[in-house]
Amino acid sequence: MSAIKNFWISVLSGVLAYTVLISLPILYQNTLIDIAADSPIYFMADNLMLLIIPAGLVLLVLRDVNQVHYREQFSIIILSLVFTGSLILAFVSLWRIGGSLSAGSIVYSSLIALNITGLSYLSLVRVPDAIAIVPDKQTIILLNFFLLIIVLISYGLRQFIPASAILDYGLAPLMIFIVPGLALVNLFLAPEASLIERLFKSIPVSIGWYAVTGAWAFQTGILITANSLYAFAILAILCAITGFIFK
Amino acid sequence: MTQIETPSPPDSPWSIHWQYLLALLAIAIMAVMFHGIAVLGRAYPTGPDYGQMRLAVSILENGTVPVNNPYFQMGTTDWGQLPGAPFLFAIQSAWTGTPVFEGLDFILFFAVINSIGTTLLIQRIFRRMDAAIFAGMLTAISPLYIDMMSWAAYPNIMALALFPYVLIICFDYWETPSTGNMLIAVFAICGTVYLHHLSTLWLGLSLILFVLIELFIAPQATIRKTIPIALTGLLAGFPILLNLLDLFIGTDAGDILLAANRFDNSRVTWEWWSDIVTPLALPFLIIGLTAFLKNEMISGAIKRFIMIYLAIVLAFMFGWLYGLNFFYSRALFFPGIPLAIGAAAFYLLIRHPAIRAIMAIAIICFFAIYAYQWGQSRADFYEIVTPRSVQAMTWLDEHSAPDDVILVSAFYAFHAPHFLERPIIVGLTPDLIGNPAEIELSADGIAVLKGLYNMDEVLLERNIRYIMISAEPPDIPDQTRSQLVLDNHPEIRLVFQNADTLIYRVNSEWGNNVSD
Repeated sequence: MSAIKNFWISVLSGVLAYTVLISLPILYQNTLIDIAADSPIYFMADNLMLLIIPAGLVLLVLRDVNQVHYREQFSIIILSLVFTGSLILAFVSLWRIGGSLSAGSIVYSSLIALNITGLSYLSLVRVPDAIAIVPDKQTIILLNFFLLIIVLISYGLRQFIPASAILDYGLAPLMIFIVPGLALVNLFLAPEASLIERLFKSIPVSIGWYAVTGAWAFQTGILITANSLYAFAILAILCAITGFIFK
Repeated sequence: MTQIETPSPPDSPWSIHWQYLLALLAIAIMAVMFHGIAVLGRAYPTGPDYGQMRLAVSILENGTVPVNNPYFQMGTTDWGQLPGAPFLFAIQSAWTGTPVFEGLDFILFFAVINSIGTTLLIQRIFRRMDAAIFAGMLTAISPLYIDMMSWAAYPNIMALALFPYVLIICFDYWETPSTGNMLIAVFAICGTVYLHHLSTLWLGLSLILFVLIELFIAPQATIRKTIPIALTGLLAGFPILLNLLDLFIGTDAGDILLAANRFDNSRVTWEWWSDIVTPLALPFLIIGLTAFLKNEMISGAIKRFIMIYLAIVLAFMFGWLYGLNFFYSRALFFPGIPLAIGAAAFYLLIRHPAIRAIMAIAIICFFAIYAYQWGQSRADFYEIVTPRSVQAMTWLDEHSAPDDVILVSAFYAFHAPHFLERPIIVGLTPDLIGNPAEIELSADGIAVLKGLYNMDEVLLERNIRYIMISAEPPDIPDQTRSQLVLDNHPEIRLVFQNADTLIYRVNSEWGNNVSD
């Protein structure tokens, strides 16, 4: 069998299998399984095993795949089955929930199908060995100065274009979740720590920095203003740069 | 064509391939879209609780944290929450120029933080990125977080989002107790405990019990690791600790946990469990966690911590069995991390990659579709602030005097003080009361809204001028009963009505009320 023929067989098998699954609540209304005819979602959520049945049907259909090209074609078949089946299942279910065809249900079902296909790809396919990116000392110092520049740009944009999308969804979250934390983490972590580890740990450390400085400010009567908040962020970077130089 | 084999684990939990970065991006998008069901595409976010972000506005206005909560329950109570979460919203508002209540979608960043954090926590524990991505996807579409978004438990969500990071940082410190790791842990813990009092209780109990158990296993090593971090944490976080003590004393937490008997209605049932946590959680928690405990590659300290955390969840969830009083159903929102770990371990139980993929597909499909449907229904249920309800509150603001006492139902509890700078009485049922100082006023509010025997006495004694409730169910107390009571009271008249809100006025000539 050619790969294209297998692709279409798997797509059609997936469509058949998922159609049967969605129809089951109507066919088996009076069984011991407590389901509602219009609630395939709860039915499927509580009866996971029923998905194994169509999956088994698909694998049964595929058992005659040409053994010579088994490995090559298998992934195409599985991934196309995964995508098609997920898309149909998600789309039909969301359509039944909403009662009408909507752009939202198309978007959500496509997103679900894509994510599931991606996960399947990663589960099935071997990827090359991962690597850790470890910044050197010079890079870290430059990174800290870059964080300082982010603060200055953010301050400038706040004066000229307040309530803009770049501030709301770009610079302000960067300042809250990354800036002070990354500076401090660069100081605290061992030199061989990877970039991913530094970014990951910068989030809670950033929030912790604002919590500690804010709590002390509230306790000692230092007034919180936008400028004092910028000062807190810059303080973290300066502490980190100073500490790093003497480290 | 790439061959099909089981992916080899990376050498370090912090090594990553660009394909996995794409997967993290997909998880982030999923988290925003599913958590955003209650926020995106709506005129206002859903939920009663985000009205408490008024504390963020107060911080910006005053430059400090006010103690008293003005207007709410006639200004007789203190703020019943830690200032950390409103403080972060205040920072966002200060740096963007976007008013706090127009920038509430800031909370969606925490959905991404939670999902990515859980992914990397699983990667850290199992050293398998495919299992980590599976768990991360489940977190992104988990009904328990989506449910919390619908009633706007933003401080709770923010604190839970940091839990995976705190765990990794604490695990790293426990394995390598360097000064740098200690300082990172101090900041991470201080930040997390400043956000939400219940989450702080969970994290604090877990850490303390963990240390106590480790003291039996390796006493000297435990003392050497614990004392420096405890002392540094106390020093750095001293004002945070004072805040916590103020809150627990002010809300009489001891009374709530030991003596209060008003939480019986919150006992966890199978229906609540299956709605919020889902039945699929059971095989993850039982089979998956068993596989996790039997995994010899995972350190004993990590296993002990996770089981302690789960034990605390179950202890609070079923506290009535041994006399603990608590809002039991609240514990349903804390098993996210054990669930993720159990799901990842369950996933790894299956050896054949194709079958493993099919199982993962099935589970994510079901979770996603269920979460979408549950999220929509819960968001619709908690759709309180709408253009019409804002119109009603604006009308009331324009037609009432600054000292007019206004009684509102529970759904408007935290939004009314934001929109109406008036003395407000909130009719909260006993199980919804967190601060015992509110009990008397809440009972008075309920007496009026339910038409109890002392309704007239309360109306006159409290000098209630206006009453605001939802125009249609749901509401608390029961909207149908409230409307029936108010419509049929001879001294109460309906003065404003739209599709979402009803406003009644009490006759100013009745009793000793001052006339207009």
